Amino acid sequence: MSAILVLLALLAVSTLASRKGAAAFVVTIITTPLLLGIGFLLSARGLAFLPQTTADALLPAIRVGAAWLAVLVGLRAARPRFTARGVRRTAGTLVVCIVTWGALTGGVFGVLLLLDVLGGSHAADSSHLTALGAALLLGGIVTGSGYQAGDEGHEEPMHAHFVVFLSRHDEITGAVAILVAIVLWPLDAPVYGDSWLAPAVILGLALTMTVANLLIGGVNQDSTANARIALLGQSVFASGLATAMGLPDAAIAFFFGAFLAFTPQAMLQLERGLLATERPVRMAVLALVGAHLGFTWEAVAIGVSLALLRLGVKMLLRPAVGGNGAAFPLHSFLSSSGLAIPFAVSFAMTRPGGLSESFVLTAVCVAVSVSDLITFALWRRPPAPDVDVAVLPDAPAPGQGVAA
Amino acid sequence: MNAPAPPPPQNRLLVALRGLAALGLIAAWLVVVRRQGWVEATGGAMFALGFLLVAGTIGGKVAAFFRLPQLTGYLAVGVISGPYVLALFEKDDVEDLKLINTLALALIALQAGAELTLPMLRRSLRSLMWASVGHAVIITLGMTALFALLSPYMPFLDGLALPAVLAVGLLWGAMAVSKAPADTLAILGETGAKGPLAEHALGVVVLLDVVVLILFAVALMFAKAALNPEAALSLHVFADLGQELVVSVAAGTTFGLVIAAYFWAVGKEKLLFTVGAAYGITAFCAYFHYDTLLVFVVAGFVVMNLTKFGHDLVETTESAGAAVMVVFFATAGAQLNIGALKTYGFIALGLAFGRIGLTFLASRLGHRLAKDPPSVRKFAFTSFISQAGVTIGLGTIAANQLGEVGGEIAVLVIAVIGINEMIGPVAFKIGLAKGLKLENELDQIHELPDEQDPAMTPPPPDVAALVDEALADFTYETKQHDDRVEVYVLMDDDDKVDGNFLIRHAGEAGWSMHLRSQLFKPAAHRVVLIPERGMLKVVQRIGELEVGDQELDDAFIIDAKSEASPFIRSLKTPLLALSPFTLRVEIESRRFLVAADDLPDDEALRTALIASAELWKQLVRKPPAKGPEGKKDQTPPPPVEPAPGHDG
Repeated sequence: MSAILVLLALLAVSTLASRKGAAAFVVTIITTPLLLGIGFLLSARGLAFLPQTTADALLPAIRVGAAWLAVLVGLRAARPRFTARGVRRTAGTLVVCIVTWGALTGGVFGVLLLLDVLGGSHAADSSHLTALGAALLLGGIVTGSGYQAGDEGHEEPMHAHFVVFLSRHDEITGAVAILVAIVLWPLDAPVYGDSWLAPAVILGLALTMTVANLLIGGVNQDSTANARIALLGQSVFASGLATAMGLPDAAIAFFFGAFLAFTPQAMLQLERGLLATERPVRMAVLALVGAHLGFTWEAVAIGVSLALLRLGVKMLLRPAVGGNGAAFPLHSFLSSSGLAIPFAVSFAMTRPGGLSESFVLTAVCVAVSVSDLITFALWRRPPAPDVDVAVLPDAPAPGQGVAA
Repeated sequence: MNAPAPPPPQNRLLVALRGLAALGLIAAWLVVVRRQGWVEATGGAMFALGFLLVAGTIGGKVAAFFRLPQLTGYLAVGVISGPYVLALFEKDDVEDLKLINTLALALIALQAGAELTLPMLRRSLRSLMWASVGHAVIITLGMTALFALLSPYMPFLDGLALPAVLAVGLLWGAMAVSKAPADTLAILGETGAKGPLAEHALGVVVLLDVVVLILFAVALMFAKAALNPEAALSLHVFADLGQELVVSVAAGTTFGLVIAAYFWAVGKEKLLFTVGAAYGITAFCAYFHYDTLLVFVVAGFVVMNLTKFGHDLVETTESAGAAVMVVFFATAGAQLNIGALKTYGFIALGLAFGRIGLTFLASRLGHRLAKDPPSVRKFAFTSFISQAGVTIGLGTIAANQLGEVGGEIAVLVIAVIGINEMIGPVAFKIGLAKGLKLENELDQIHELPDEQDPAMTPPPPDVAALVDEALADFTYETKQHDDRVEVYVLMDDDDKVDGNFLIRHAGEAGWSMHLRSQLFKPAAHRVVLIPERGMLKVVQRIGELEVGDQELDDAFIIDAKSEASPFIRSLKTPLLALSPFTLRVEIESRRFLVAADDLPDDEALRTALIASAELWKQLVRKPPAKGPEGKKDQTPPPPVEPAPGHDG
């Protein structure tokens, strides 16, 4: 049967799965592993409902969705409200993120060497791959934690707020890590000719799209629908151009979103409407990505190792966040990444073999899923009553969740 | 709190210039990237999709500047950037966007079906029937004759006997009957037009797309027999066609009920479900050889007329359809082979203008027989000029089944569609404007009492006096914004600004006219307060659900007859109408619309003002006392919770 019918099945099952079954609380947190699992089960490597050719035919949908998600993540990550924090806390959080990245990069590389996945080759390509794989895991995200922390009311606002706060630093650090990785380990494409050229092109293209968006006047002088269409078009255009150049398209989309966040206040108004698109897009992307996963024991081992390594490093570095950081709940550091999978998709698309043969994509998906499941396990514990945390200046009032 | 000043009226020239500047920036990147050799000639389907979305949006703005339909801008962008002119992307890239066009067609057909309501069909049945018969007979026969007349100039018909030429001509005539539902819906959506002309246009276009299936099947049977003497005429085609139509209607009904069942049972992620359903039903139809368009139209019709989820479906398809429409029309433009116009320029012009003439003739005759209103008689034909996806599809079938002749027919179809798409949308927009103007003029004449001079118009209400009367208990200042808008800033006892009223005539706003005609026909004396943000969406839901639903807890509905106070009392009352006046009120960061229905203008304004002032008192000032001796309750009202949302 055609690809379209399978897409229907994927979407229908995903939709229902996210709403029915166990309590919505549980399902919401484990949405990522759930949808990835559904996609995998339907795929040729699972129950074989979805032929590989059909899965490949749906690649454009994955790419458009991933680019859109990256824009939304960028838009959130750089919003001034969430970056203007105390210097100490911000610096501490960034240190945690950077050290975690370093640890993960080193850890991944070490694991790969131990497992001999690199085949004795330390070529730039492999190094690039491992560095990226580690960087991808940095992205903390709100999609799993934020939903139930903010809207579902399962968490104290203070904690929910910190999940958001920490994850945004993770996202920014992860995106910058991509740029660093590109400089250190350039690919074999013309745009990598000069070591700083590729990052400059990424930032320049994102900046151009931001200026173009302002010129189109999407926010103040246009209807929301037209503004959204223009924004979607710019994201997809920039991503398409990036892919054609061999650049990670999710990076451009992320920075585009981040730059947009600094445009006039009205942008925030637009953002409210935009965020509503995230959930359906994310669900569809996850289910479709799941259909491309090829589990190998190496990928699973590395994914699990990375998740545990990330947990360990962040546990050790909790006090660096500032204040009484050690009292922050552990799950604040664990939320899985909304940026990780779009980045992994973006990275895999530029490699020979595409998504279906991507070691990185599978490892990242495993790691994200493991992180989500650990978060779920930890989150169900009631928060400690003696948590003593100074309320941040613009922390949401009780009962208001983390809504912007 | 001071409300932000309303944005100035759109300066279309400025918007168009800014859009072009943005396009210039993007184009500069293309030039740089290609000159530096960082990319190959094209960037693939994703690049094409993004470019068409951005450039299509800008093209729509530029078209709007020239007062052309936006879809003309989308089409132009597609033609210019497509593989046959600038070749910014390749034909294969356009083919890869098929997935999106599938979705577009599904959403268009669903929406078209949902626009066909039973009351409308009852009103227009006679008109629709005559128009359909007129078009089917006159255009089919007329175009057959014209095709035969022009056949000496068509090299691919050389050597064919006259019966064969006539058979191919009949096929062409059948295809000429087809219209463009997508164009019709897009123009109606852009203009927000309602009324007899709009209803007639949509009804006929949808109906003729069913009729054309029958005509085309019959004509194709004759053409195949004429071009291939070994093939025999078979009446099985009628049985197959009948079966296909009946089964398609049945399938459409089933799918409509399935969609409604999902909306009822789950009610969330409607967009995701609708998109999935669109693809799934398309695949289903392809697999079982059902008529996709008919299935979706019937499904939309069923949801609208047999369930209470019609407005939900329209809302969902509209929210998903905006971006999809841009891509759909831009892609259609990119597929138009300008080379075909070069090859068959003269023939295509003759056939296109011949079709327009016959369309005019068929429309006038049908309307005369149906005794349609003047606006329909004069201007309805403009809605039938466009041709797009359906016709291309028929041309493709002809190409597949009629060999070399069919292939050339398909090329000729593209050339004629190119001309029709240049003329059709523009003509329809102009015709619609003139038709609506005529309808309004006639309405005004009909509404005047017999003894009143039709040339006399009622004097405008004295806004200042009404404000004085309605806000007698308040301190306020007046700010004149422009000719149409006045802002009244309410002050509390400490001269602190607590809220303001922004008043405008609702007739000036396109959405308001749309709402009045579409949603709130039953008239009653009521005042309505709804949150301003997302007002269209909320209003539509109020029409279906009851206020008090979780998502509508900020809505207020007030009975104007009972005076303003106590007025927040009927939260379960269905919304009935919208006023000739709407007031936008901002109080403590909460925004409301206030409207009083079906009252004379000054009464409507006064009622809305009183209601707003009362609302302001309820939300900001001390609430009325509940204790003994009328003692005021000093407890401030609870803080207003922001709308639920999440940051992630």
